[in-house]
Amino acid sequence: MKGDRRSRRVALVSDSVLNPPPGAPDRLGPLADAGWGIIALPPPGLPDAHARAWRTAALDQAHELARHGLLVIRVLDGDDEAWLAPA
Amino acid sequence: MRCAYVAHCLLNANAKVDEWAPCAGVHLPLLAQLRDRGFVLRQLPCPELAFAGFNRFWQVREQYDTPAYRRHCATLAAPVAAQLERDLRAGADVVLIGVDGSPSMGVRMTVSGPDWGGRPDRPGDFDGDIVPGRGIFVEELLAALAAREVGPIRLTAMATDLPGADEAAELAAVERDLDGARP
Repeated sequence: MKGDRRSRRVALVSDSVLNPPPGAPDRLGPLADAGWGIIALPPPGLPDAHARAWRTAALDQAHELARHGLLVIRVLDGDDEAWLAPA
Repeated sequence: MRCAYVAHCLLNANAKVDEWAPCAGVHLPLLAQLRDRGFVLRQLPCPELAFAGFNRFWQVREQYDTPAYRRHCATLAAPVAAQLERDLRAGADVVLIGVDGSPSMGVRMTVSGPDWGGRPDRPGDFDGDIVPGRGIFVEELLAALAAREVGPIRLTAMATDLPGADEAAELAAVERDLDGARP
């Protein structure tokens, strides 16, 4: 056992944060260097049912961490923001 | 294209069981290895966090090896397998990076303790052995890939859940696996 090194800070991120397109700014590196953990949403192009299942699993994990007082932020692109927006 | 499917906790140590996190958040040396080699990153879900919650304590494979947990893992693995199939059919070199010693994410080693029920009132008292074998989520994901008749994929693991693991040695071993021949 190693003691509790967890930062208690997590970013829910779009795939474009995890895998920046060529020429795009690196948003993952600064988060990682600052001790944030990440929860990544699915890459684009998955069939809807699978994308929905992947997103739901990611949100379940984020909610579980937030429920215990961890700071959870969103670093999302438009499509993912739209999916998460209340209908 | 090279794709790395990375165990959730290697990119989010906050998902780890208390006292077992190897870092604050993202495992920086592993991230550097993968980025230096141009890997596209895919983060696997943490089946234990979603199932047993943030405040779970350390458990052995036998405790998680229930029909309900296997269904949960299979549900989580389904969209990952679909993406993995897309990557493989696109010609990608795919590697899965698990966590050896984990009851869920072990690739070569998992943790076994047929009699361990959990004694949270006695922290530090842990009756489990590291044994050869895969974790339950890894088994379910590989089964999903087999059902899709895709693969094989390269498998490797960090050993952050093994007592006395040497991080530098682990990173060197992963590096060798990342640079190894495609299966």
